[in-house]
Amino acid sequence: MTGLKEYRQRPHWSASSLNELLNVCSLKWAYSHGVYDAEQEFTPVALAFGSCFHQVLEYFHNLKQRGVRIESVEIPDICQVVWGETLERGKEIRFEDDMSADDYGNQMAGLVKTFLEHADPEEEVVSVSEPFIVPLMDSEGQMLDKPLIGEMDCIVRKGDQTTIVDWKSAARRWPKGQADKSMQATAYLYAHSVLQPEMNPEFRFDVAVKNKTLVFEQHCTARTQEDFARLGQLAVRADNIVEHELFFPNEQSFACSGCQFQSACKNWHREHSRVISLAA
Amino acid sequence: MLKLNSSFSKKVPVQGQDFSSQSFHCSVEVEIPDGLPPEALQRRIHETFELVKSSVETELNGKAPLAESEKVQQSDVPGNNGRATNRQIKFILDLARGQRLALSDVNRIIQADFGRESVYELDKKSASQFLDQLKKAA
Repeated sequence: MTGLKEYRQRPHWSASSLNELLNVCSLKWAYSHGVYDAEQEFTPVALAFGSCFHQVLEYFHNLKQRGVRIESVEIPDICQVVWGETLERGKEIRFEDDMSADDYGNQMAGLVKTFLEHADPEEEVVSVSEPFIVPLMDSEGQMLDKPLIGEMDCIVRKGDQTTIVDWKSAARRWPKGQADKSMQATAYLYAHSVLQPEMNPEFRFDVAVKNKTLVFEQHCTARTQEDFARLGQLAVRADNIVEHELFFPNEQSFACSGCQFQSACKNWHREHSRVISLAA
Repeated sequence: MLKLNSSFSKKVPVQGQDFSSQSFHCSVEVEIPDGLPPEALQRRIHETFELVKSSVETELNGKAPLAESEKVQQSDVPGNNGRATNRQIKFILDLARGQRLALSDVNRIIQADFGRESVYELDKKSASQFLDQLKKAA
């Protein structure tokens, strides 16, 4: 099966890319996608942690799918190994909250354990890390040039009901309605509806919250055809923004404190020339 | 839109004629979208240049020119390992929709006929064949 890495090689949109451009900060999008030249100053620990957390859950869910029994004692060791590799690969990971790398490793083991303890034994794992690529349509049904790509963390089945599950770790409990507003849920349900129109899956966020006492939450959400049309129209707008380079800093973004492009952003109003590479 | 102009020329000696050469030149101008990351832009420039260069070589070696549909793909965004381009896929899916085929139907046909799981996994040549298949069925 072709993977997400290959899908990324063609011009595309993903839920996270659309979200970053439209909801987080368009200037950050321009920096992270190389439209403007800016060096990534550091890797936020949350990014490295989230990536590692996914890898560990992917590993355990693959075992579960194959019917292998998971022993709790294995969890800390696996977390330490994967977290160690993540730290080695990561570029200048910036830690926060007075926590050391080991503290993060231990926290991860706790979160993964909480996750697996709350897994419904009646849920069958259908697939893990399922990549997808589908065409996007505007609200009038015209196909956009760029497809939508992504990867569904896990698809489970219980009885006749199929559910797309996305794994999250969070610093605090999710507020009411967060799942209903998620562009990721819209994008994944849309992709599934295009690929398997005969099915009607649910979408669920499984969230491990890093409270002192670790908390596990599940947030179910659904979407309609109207939501899918709206997503397509947002992608049209995103294309326009990119085409006309309408990038600007979102001065009040919640993401500013953890942004890897703070220095470049500070000077943006004086040095925002576009990157042009000449070759051949 | 940015404009990219890429050209390649090659001189070869004329067989049997001393101090004589023939020059083959090909030039192409393509539009590329603003906002491409530098790597994508670099790749695009490289692949456009490769296309021009290989076209000159093809003509020199007397090979058949590319089919019309292949020319369309070649001028589209390169850099996806020979996979069908977004523009080519858009042609396919628009044609398929005209024939009341959903993406899932198209993918099923592609699995059966080309052994690929999705239209996005077709290479340029297979996409071109499939496009012709759809045109005939229209």
